Amino acid sequence: MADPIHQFEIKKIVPLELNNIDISFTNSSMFMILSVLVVSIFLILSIKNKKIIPNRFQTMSELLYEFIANMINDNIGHKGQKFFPFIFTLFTFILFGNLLGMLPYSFTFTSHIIVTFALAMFIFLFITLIGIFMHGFKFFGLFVPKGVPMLMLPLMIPIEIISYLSRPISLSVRLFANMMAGHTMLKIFAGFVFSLGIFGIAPLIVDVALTALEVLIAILQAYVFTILTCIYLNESINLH
Amino acid sequence: MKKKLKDFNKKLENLKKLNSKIKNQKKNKDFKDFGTFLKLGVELISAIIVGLVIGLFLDNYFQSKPIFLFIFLILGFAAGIMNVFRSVKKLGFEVGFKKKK
Repeated sequence: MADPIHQFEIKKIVPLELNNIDISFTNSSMFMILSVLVVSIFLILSIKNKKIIPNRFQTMSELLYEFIANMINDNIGHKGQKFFPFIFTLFTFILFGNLLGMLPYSFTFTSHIIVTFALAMFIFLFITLIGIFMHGFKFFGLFVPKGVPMLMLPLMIPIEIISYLSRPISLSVRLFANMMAGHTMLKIFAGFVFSLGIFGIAPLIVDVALTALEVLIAILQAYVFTILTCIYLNESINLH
Repeated sequence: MKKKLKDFNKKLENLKKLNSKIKNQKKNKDFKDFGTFLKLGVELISAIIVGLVIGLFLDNYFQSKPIFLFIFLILGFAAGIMNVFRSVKKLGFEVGFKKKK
């Protein structure tokens, strides 16, 4: 049976080294660039011939734009509009990374925890710095929950701090685990198809259904990642 | 008579539109709930991991093997429960995880 983990292997395409640090161009980096390129080409081409009555592609890009704009308006309010480019880039990058990974022979860069953790850590530091920059020392009031008696504060503040620090981990693990588990499961069922012979039709049917589920999860996880970023951003911009 | 009928028809159509709109909104909300439920498990574990890491780090620093590990593991567990509680509360659920009426 084929090795289900084999698909996550990182392969060097152009080996590079700088000061003993490996900065090779791998299949992971190739798909990141591909994701950015696909998004850019899609958006540029779809709004090239702007019309009052939009065609299908223009409608798609407008829907994408409005989806993120509404998400920011609902979760952060008008103060969040400055962060629209950031949130939009984040969403489309992860979404197209997940969806490109659903194509046969492709590679899903979001199925590596280091990629999602780097993304989440960057967001975490960015949001914390914005909070400190906008509110100064008042930002640390975030760790003091409302309506808690003074006696309980020494216990509640460490809990709040741990809860705050756990955000990048939960953010990254969620995306990584969902993508990796789904792709591994697909591969395992695909392996059964050949080893069961004529009865292989059963895992084949399961695999078809799982592929549909995986597409749903790919979109849903990109959405969850972005909406949580919005929620965290809201807390550091508007405080409580 | 005809005018009245027309008016009535218009009203009916408006109501139908409103009805379908409300239904659509409900569907959208269910989809969002699905996303929030998926994250509950990770929410609990990640806080425990942070507690574990802080505890191990402090123990290493002060050479006091299990003390800080115990304290921060328990704090991490509490933080994890609070994470779950908060995300459940955001959906409009009450303490016993029953939907508020």
